[in-house]
Amino acid sequence: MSLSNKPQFKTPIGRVRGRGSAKDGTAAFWHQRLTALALIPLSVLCIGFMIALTGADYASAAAAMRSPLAGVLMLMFLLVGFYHMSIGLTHIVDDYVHWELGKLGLNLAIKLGCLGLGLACILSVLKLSFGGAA
Amino acid sequence: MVEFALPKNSKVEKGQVFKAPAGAKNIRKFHIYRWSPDDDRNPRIDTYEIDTDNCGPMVLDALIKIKNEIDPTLTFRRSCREGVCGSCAMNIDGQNTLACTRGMYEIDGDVKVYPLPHLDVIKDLVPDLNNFYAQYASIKPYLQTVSPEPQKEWLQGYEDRQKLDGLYECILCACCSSSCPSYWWNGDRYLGPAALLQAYRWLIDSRDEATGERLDDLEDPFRLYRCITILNCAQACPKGLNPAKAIAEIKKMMVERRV
Repeated sequence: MSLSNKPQFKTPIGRVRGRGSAKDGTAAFWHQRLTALALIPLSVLCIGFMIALTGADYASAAAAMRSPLAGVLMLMFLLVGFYHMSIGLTHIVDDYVHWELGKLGLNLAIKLGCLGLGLACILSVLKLSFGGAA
Repeated sequence: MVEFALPKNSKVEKGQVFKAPAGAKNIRKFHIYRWSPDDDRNPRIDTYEIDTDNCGPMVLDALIKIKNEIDPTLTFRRSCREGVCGSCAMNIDGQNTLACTRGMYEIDGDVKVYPLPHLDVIKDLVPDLNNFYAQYASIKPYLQTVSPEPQKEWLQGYEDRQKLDGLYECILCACCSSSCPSYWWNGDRYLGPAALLQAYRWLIDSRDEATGERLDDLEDPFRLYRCITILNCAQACPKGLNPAKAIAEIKKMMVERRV
């Protein structure tokens, strides 16, 4: 590795100070930890619920989903899971993508993708919970 | 995006081999990274055979022997030769450490010596630490107060002084920061373990009165939150410090002032 050929007239401290602190980041950090913790019991319960439905036909699975407890559990799992995924994916993009426009586009796609997928899943759960047709 | 291959002009080639003097019985091979800005050559690995019977036990002893007796063009930083100044930080046998405190006897087989990773190289084993030092300066590593200065000194209790243990010993050798992948990918914006350990050293100093401002300056997705606690820094630190723990404590302070 060698020194960059481009002349750099900005001082090192000028580059480091840059545009200052964004005064942000703690919320994402804290929410990522909280959602990770919440996902431990939620995942176990959801997986247990799905295992309990192994081999069941659609009607009995839909009937089980009509229980408020099952519905709330599924909705919480989805909300928390997609929020956690959104924070995690954004972190990965911030780590590895250094093309600013690409970073912006990817982060936007992550937010919209997680929101869209989350809403689709939530709608499906609500449909089952309120007894809609297949 | 992340670069997975070295650029053409950075591909490392085979270099010269400097044979041990005739009659040498205990020979140790040193493979050392060489690059000079004064020619257009790619980096290369030169091999030096050292007669360990006529050399001190540390890697730095061998480097000094090479420079004095075999190849005066070999360039590296060194000063105190006892783990205090941090000048001779380099990558030895795949680990960032100090050449003066790493014994040859601790290494199996040939000794491979490279400059600290992912920093621009000025020459041979000398990395460019300008950005690293600027990051240290940016955290304002000095006491900041608003109270009138006491006549004698700012007092500190025994327990509060103990909180600085494990932090004040940092010698700014850059072994930790240059071992951190987050620092490799985002070293221009992420302050890195060394600067953040120093930041925490001032954050918990009971005499300092700028804790809030210090936290404000650090609260940034890149400056602080690129750390994902993989602990390379703690493993690399030749002084046995734990920068990752200091960074975790800063994050804790950030959360505590919100909840």
